[in-house]
Amino acid sequence: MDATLEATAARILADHHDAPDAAWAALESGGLTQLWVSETLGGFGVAAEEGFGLVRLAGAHALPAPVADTLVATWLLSEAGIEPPAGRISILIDGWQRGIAFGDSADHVLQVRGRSLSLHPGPVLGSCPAVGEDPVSDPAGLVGDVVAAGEMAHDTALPLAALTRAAQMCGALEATLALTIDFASQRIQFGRALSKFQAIQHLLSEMGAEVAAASATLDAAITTVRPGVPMDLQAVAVAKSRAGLATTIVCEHAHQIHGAIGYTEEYSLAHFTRRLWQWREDFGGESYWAAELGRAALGAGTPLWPQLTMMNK
Amino acid sequence: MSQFTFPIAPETGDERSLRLRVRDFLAAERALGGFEPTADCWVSGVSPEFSRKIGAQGWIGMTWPTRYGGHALPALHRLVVTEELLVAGAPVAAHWIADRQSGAQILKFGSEQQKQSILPRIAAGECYTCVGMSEPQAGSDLAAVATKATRTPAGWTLSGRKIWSTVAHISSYMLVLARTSPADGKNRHVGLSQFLVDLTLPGIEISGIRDIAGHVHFNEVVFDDVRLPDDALLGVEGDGWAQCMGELAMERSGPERFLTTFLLLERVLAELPGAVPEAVLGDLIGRLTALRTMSRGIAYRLQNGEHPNTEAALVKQLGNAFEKHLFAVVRGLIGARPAAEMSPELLRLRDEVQLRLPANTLRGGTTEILRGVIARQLGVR
Repeated sequence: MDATLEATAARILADHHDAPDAAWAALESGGLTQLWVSETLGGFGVAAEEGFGLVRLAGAHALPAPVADTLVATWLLSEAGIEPPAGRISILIDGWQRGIAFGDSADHVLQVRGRSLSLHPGPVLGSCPAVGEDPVSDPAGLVGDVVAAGEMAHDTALPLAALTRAAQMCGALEATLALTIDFASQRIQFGRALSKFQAIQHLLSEMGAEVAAASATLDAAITTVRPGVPMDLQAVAVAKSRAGLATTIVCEHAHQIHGAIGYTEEYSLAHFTRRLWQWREDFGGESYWAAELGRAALGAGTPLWPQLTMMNK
Repeated sequence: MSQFTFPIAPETGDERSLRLRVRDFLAAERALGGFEPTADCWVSGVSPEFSRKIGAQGWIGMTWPTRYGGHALPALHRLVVTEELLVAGAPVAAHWIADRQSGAQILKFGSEQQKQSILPRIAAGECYTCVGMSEPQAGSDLAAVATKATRTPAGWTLSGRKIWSTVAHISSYMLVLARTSPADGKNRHVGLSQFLVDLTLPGIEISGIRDIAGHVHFNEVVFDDVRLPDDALLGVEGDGWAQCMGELAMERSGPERFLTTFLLLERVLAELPGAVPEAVLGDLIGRLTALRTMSRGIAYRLQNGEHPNTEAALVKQLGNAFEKHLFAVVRGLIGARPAAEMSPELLRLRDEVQLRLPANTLRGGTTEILRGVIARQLGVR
């Protein structure tokens, strides 16, 4: 991610960490929510990498605002040649979601059916339950009016949304690790910090390894994303499934190390773990993306290794 | 910001054509009866004849300067070759350690004379080397090494014993970590030095140790007042610990930490294609692809002269865990059917992997040691 952009985004997220509406307003007025709007449609047309970097930072701050979904919507609208509206855009992709994330505050909702897009006015009232902390609206409340409609050239929606979730997850995984290291270093039991116990160090090192693996596959997948080009499904599948695996281990160990305090609403750990559990399921869990990988490999009818060495080349 | 750095290095066209060349060569060798694929081939498959063929192809010492018999190629080219050799189960154990770490240590710390006399022979697949780190009383606690080198007017005298030295029985040289001066109080990392020891010198006894399957690949090596020439000291006196840590980064980060059992998966897919559920296979592909991405990132950093020691420990730990997971999955798939439905070769390969697997999480640093290395990078040790 560009250093200036990263510093700007990080400062906004840190300055407004208790005020999501103010954070959103600052990001929007800085043009950061329009990073993925193509230049021809009045946006910045910056590299895909910048948007993923922003989303990852937002994940690391557990920002309760639809930065990720708005970016995805603007990308998809740009691909269909529709000028994205300003404001918060929620997304609803085929049958992939039980509900619409941040539907209750959405200025617009982008509904995707295959390659067809239809943009509807928000907000969508009527919440539905979710494992995550962010508000989710019942799709039944979506207004039928269509503000704009169009077609994309490729099946971009699901893989782009999944990879965006993987980026949010990597940010939140790093933050969960950092929070847990801090806690373990400060919490004294049996006369010494928890982090001095080898059993705790080993759990932390496993968390570190998982974060690193998820992060490496995310970085690899991001290099394959370019506007107007079909998504590399294998790279996305590896990144989203690896982030899901890491989520399971990192959240489990983080809660174990924190003990009872981490299981309270008051403490900040669940801001990350609940979102991670939500994002792990969004737009295809590990098994969905693993099955995609497996199906492609078994369907090729050739040995596996030559296929693997053709990936990500 | 992450504590670990794995740059993304997509495969280049040159690497791709090299990969295909290696693959074609290995297919031709197999067709001619040149080798039978084995699991864990970088330890199990000793064949000086095959190593010479690999040397003749230019696939040993690939990254070394041409004046020492090398080929001045990027580390990522070497990674491509090692991946292909491992996946094919080729008998590469004789030269593996010399190519992977000893040669690089000699290149970095050796005298001009040592470099000129030893490296070209390693690159030709004719000269093999082994690691001299562990001792009977210094396993995971490497700093407890008691092998001692004492200065003499003519050079050094070496006494002590090394153990678990893979391929020592066919090696010309061992890189020995020895104590040259006492520890500084509690700091045992000082006073250690590395020596390049000619294993033909008088006073050295090498005895094979059988592993649980009865194979001899590792050895015990006893040094009884061995007189070493002055230039046997490799690198700087007292820098042995740091030199070994650099060597371990090369030892730990390669694909031999996650591709020693891949041929079992490939065999199951070929023989029982309907038995492998899509999501199960995809899960393995995802985990393996992550490891390959990370291993490439480390090779890229090594190529740039960096020392990604912690990342190497991390890849080894994740890679070892992946291989255990792969084996558990594959033996589950095999065991779900009557033995009569599959070839004796598949069952033999499964059993061979089982007998090799326990060594993975021990050699080159146990899981517990690696977790400690990672924990230190995380700032909690």
